[in-house]
Amino acid sequence: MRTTASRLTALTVVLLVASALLACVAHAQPTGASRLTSDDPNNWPMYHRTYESFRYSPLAQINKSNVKDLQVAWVHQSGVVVQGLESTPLVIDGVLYYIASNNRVFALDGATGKEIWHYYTKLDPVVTTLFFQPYNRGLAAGHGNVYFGTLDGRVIALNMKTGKEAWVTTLLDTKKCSCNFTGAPLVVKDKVVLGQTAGELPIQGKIFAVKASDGSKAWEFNTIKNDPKSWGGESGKFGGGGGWMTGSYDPALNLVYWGTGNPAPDYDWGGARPGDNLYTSSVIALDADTGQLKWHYQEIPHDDWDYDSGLGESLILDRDGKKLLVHQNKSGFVFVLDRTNGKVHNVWPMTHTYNFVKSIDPKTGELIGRNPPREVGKPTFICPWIAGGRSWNSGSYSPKSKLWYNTAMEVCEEVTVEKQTPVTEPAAGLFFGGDQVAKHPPGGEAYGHLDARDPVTGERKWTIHFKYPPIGSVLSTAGDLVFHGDLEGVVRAYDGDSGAELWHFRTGSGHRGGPISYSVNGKQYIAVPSGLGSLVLGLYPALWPEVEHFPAGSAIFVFSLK
Amino acid sequence: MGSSRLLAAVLAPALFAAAVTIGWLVDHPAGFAQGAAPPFDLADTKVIGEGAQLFRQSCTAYCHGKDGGASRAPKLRGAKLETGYVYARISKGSPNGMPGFEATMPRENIWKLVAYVMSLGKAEDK
Repeated sequence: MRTTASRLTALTVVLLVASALLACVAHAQPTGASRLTSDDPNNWPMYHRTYESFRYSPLAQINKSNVKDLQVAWVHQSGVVVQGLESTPLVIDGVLYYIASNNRVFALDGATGKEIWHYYTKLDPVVTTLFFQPYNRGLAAGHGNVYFGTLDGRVIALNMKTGKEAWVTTLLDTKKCSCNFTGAPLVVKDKVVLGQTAGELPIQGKIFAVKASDGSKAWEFNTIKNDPKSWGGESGKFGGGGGWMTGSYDPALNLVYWGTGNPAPDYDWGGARPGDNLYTSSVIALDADTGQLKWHYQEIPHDDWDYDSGLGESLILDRDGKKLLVHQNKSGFVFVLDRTNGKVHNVWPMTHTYNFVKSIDPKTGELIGRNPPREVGKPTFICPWIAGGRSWNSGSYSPKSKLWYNTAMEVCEEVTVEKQTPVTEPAAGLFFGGDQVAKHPPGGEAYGHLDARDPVTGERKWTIHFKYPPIGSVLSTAGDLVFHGDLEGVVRAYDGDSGAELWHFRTGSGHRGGPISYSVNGKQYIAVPSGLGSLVLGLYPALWPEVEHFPAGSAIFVFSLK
Repeated sequence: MGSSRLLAAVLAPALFAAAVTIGWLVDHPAGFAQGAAPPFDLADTKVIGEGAQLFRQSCTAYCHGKDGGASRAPKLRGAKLETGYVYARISKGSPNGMPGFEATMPRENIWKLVAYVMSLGKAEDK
């Protein structure tokens, strides 16, 4: 008996020690790959929160009945307001991480806002010569690090606890290509995936994967297909593309989905780039381990309007036994694809105002009645404008309401195409092939809206009108709430079912980033990046001169219940 | 006076003057640019036309607005600017996010842009 009791005691001790060790290991690797798929409701561990790109929080402590009592818990200022605050924060185990202009990275106590560490990236001076700067849209996290692509073409991993560099790797020759990284990476298993800027440059844009452990390159995918049928003459050498925003991942299929940038030059004066210009303005599915192309779907063959596919989320939805991928193109059309093979399931327009095509066949995706601006030196009236039917900001899908909350812009432009010779020496110069100015749509004022829609059919449940087309991302929660900030600096909470406004707060500067929700010690918070800035904002004053003077900013406002 | 002291006496004011000059140039890039003469007549309509083309190809709509009109960046139509200031700003950019073009654009093209921007100063607002 005595021996048995001793054995039981010993076994208990061993089990306790093993449990403690396992807990330590779990703590030491706070965001291993498994945790990225575990969907801890308290966290916001990646750019779109989950691989499905829903931007949906399962937290419901803040809900329709009490959202009116939201108040500011804390505010954090990044200290640099140039191009505002475009990013979406992350929260992991009570710590909020975010990146601001000039690649400033912060780790803050999620409950109090107290700084834990900061990392101000020492950037190469070449950054001041670039078009795509000094903004950044977000971080990735996993394997004990946070990761970001830099304005000077590097990827940096920082230890999550200390903010010290774990590794730095250089992927781009920014001094030569004038290209860089501005979008948030995506951690997929043991790799960090990210894409570069390229669409307005005479270069070949790529999507990369580096090993999370040491930053060494695992694979790269060239978005410019080496095919003279797709790129006539030498045009492919200057084809642009790239993949400047954040994609999605389907663990079951082991496929990474990424939207690609537009071809360069943005406008084709006729013969600038003969062919369909693969794989620009496309959604591509890559094997997560090898980067090999599994399928592609080109939303805009031979893009004549800078309606690229790089923006925003790719929703991973299953409906009626079908594995779907919902991806919005900058043209304002939403492409619903079979994510196993890239075949078209449906296509529907998010905007009412378009004339770049007469329609897009919802069964085949064919662009019918194309209206390309081709006449050199003569303005052509095109809808939507170059900022798109929606910019790169993301919508939010609630699996509870089955609605996609998404913004749209009803704005047109006059495009004047102009022949341009690509400049690659001593460094790549901008390669637009024309310019444009914003115009009101025929018979009315330009405007924007926030809609609640079925993401597969496009059926609309409610809509909110905005004088100034909004460019901030959307958050939905299990509390049946939708959060969204406008251009004038007001963040609002809407009833997700009806669109009724339930709460608002004026942050003092417009919204371009992504609001999130998280929980620390049982208390739910809503974090809202505020700070107006963006390249597309430069297009607004032609229609709304007062926007020139809307104040910039760069702060995280965090709200909680009283 | 030893030779080393003589050398120091001659060099010290020269080094001081050089340091002051370098410091001034750092603080006054416009003044430095003003010292460099444009390679052609900035009022030449052909040069202005070539500058306008470069302007259209270098971020018109996103930055300064079509034909120098309203945007988030300063409106150039009707703006009264100094030639040296414009040259320095185009070359070096600004801390407010404007990129510098000296790494990607030949000096002659920067002067063509200067000619166009200066011509916008005389243009009516629209």
